[in-house]
Amino acid sequence: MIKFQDIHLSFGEVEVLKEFSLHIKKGEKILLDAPSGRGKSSLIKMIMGFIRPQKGRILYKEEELSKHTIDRIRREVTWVNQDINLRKINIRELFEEISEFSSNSSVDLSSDLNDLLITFGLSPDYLDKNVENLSGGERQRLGLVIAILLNREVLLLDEVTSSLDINLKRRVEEWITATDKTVILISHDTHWNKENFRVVRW
Amino acid sequence: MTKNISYFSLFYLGIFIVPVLMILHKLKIKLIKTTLISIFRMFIQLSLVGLYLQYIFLWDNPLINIAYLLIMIFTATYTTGRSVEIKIKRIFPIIFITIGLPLITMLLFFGYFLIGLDNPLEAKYLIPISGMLLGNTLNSNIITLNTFFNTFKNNENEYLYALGLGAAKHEALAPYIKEGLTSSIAPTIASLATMGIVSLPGMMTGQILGGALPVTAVKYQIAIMLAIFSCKFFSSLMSLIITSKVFFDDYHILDKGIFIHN
Repeated sequence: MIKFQDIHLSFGEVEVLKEFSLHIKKGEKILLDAPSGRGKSSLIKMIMGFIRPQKGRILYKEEELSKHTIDRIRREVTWVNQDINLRKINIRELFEEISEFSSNSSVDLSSDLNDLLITFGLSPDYLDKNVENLSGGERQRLGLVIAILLNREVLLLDEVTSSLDINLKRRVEEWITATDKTVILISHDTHWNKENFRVVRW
Repeated sequence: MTKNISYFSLFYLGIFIVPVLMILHKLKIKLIKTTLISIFRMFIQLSLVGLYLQYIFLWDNPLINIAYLLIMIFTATYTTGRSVEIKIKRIFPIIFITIGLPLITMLLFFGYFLIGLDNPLEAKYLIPISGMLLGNTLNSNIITLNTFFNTFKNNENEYLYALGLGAAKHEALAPYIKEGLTSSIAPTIASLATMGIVSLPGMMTGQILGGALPVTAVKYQIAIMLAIFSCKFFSSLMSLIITSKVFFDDYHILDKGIFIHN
């Protein structure tokens, strides 16, 4: 599904990744485990084309990342950021905006919205709240709700559970384990059951 | 014709400048030297402009007029380029077009249709109108580009997130484009509304002093305000469209190399 081949990445003088290779199969659940500053988030951003490595190739469904494939990748992969930091709009407007994005025309964001909000402990009143007024945990939950509603093949989850309580963390883990989607996870949380994941250490 | 004033009588205005200097001295505000230099520079620069404008009007040669216009556009472009945090080499050609094109379009329209000149390059009209339009488009380009790139840089994660959520580049950029455009035209919209009440615009005042009928001067003023407004808008819009095409790579990521400090 996703292949990193011999990736080199450095920021200025600092070498972050060196000769890094990783093959991820469809449906795999990957837990990236490396100390801070070793390029976990960068790796995820590379799949989205937000960062380019100095050397190496990235393949998505056997096709190399390029200007011809990048738009398709961004349509099929959801990236959930450490803190989604969106403009001063309320959540209802946020959902409207997302569903107006041209590549989401076939996605129905509203069908399961209320149920999902409740599952994640966000009552439907939250729809009128401004994104910027949400706490860190609420933003993480919102980010997950959006990711689930977009229903894409690949999920890149970058530190999305750190501010959640343990029950929700467990629920997120259950969801990840049960889904047939490909999931790449970065998390400093310790509760993950390593047996549910393929742990990649470096 | 306006009644002439002698250079000597300009010095009488010193009556009002000397006390300013004395107070600055008394308050130990260290601006006396700068003030004197600035006044001196204004005096020399304006005298020179007066002198060569006199000749340019006298000759009224199309080639000289066009050359003069190009120098004005060049200088405006350079000033704008120096006031944004983007490397001058990268931004200069863009601004040259986005300032020059709306200006020339408007000048031709103004000359031919509005005033009805046989020669729209007539120096007497061309140069002052260009000056007014340029000063304004220059300003609005600086504000637009700075607002656009600053909001973008402060919210780059949000932009990436939008791309990741399925936004096309233009959809993900829309909020920053909107912000940039608004910052350019909002002040003009506000000043249009107070025109004639709070401020008597310089051009109109000048024409009245120059002996024009107030009714004529007002019509010119209205025309120039509309021209300024539209020039500013289209110039800023073009700058935003071109920079967002040229300064982003084929993955729709902003090339940080364009900035002086990155």
